[in-house]
Amino acid sequence: MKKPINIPIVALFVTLFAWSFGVTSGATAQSQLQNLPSPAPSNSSLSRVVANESGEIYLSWVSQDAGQATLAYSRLSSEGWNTPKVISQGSDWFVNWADFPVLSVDSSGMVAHWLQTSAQGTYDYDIRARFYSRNSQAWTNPKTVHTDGISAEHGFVSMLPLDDGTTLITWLDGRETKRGDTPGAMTLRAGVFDKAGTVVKEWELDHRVCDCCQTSSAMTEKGPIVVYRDRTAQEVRDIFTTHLIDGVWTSPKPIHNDNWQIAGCPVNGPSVAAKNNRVAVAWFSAKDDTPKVQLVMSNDNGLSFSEPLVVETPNTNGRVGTAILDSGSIVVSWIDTTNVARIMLSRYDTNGKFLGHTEVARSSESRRSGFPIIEAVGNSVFITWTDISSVPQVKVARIDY
Amino acid sequence: MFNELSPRLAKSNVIIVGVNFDEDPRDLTLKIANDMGIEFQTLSQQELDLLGLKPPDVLPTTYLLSPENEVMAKLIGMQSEQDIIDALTRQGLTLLNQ
Repeated sequence: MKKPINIPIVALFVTLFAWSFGVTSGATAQSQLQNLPSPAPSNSSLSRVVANESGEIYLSWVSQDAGQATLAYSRLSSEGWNTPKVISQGSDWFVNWADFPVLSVDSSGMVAHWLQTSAQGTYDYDIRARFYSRNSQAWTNPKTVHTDGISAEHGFVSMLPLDDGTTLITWLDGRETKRGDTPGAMTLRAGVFDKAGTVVKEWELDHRVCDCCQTSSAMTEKGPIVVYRDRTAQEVRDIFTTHLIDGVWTSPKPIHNDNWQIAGCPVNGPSVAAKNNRVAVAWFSAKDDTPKVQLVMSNDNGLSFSEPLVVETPNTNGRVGTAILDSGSIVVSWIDTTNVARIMLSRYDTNGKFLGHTEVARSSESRRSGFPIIEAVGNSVFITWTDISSVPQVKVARIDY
Repeated sequence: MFNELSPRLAKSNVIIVGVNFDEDPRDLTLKIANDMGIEFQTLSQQELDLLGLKPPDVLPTTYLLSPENEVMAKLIGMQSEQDIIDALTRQGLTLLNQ
């Protein structure tokens, strides 16, 4: 006879709709890891590292104190990190481990965004941005990137400086989720913005995408490439790409048919890097409950891709980054979840031959440890992450290959 | 759906608890739960650690735990009321009159 038993149901919830809801070690003989002093204060997180065309490194982060969030940045010079500068502050920001500010830099200026709550709904927030012109040496007032005026989720931004001084901004846009009696899906949108923050062009790139995975973009010889996690009507959520070629976006297509069918969101977006006509994309999947980080490469500006290389399976929770060195080597960052979580870099040559791992730091599977971000300059990789072993603090390191 | 299901399953000694995947502080977690109209109990990260659950790869994820905190089933994606009842039945649970 079956007896009633006491079974708790743990329902894990997210962002959009439901709750269901450096320690230095292990660098290989081919690489040299150097932990850099961090310009970010205690209680900082959500960092990104980015380089301009000259190879100057910028680090951005969010610090929190007494209910107020501050977005700041610092530039790395030959004397070390410059005095941090504040881009924006607010007490009504949406501060989230997976959806966090981007800083874009080029010789003509900078663009930075943050997320600001727009209504009572927990996940209703706008993308706010400031644009900095080196000519005027001033930031604009904050602008709202999207023009829908609808209180919904807007975020998961990627930015790409364009040759004419404008910036391509790509984001997930939840305007359709709030329309009418039959709400639509999360959409992928992009716009080109000038230094005044004025939208020059705007597009919807995909009408149905995964709700809460990061977008990523890079510049090829043929123009910008955007990668993201798609969402079919059958809930297949594979990685797709689209290109802006001669002013027209190509039809989105998969970089590989993982056929990962999930009626949920992995909160784990892809990462793309490009150099000349070469493109590399790394991403996470967990089909059949088997976590996997994969890498594909392209020698034709991302119009076609190689068969995937498995960077790691099954001991990973993804959170990938991708960079291409001057040597042509490709570096993928990912989280190793074997025993203690570790931030790892894996390097491959131009033919996809594995060249070695570098352990950057011990980390945590906790969401508060965030997503490590990498950027290549020459044959070096700069990486930033959040150390949560005590008070959260942004860390940064350089790995020379 | 979980709000309605929670008191009904309680008659069969099944407890529904929620976990904020984003690991927000407890006060913010409770505010979010309130904003979202969640009426059943929610757990802080500290309490979740005691259950020994690793973060799921996909959201939403629903776990069925035994009284000994063993994971008996992992349900990925949005679940209907019938999905939950079916999963409990597959674990050998006879639900009392709801």
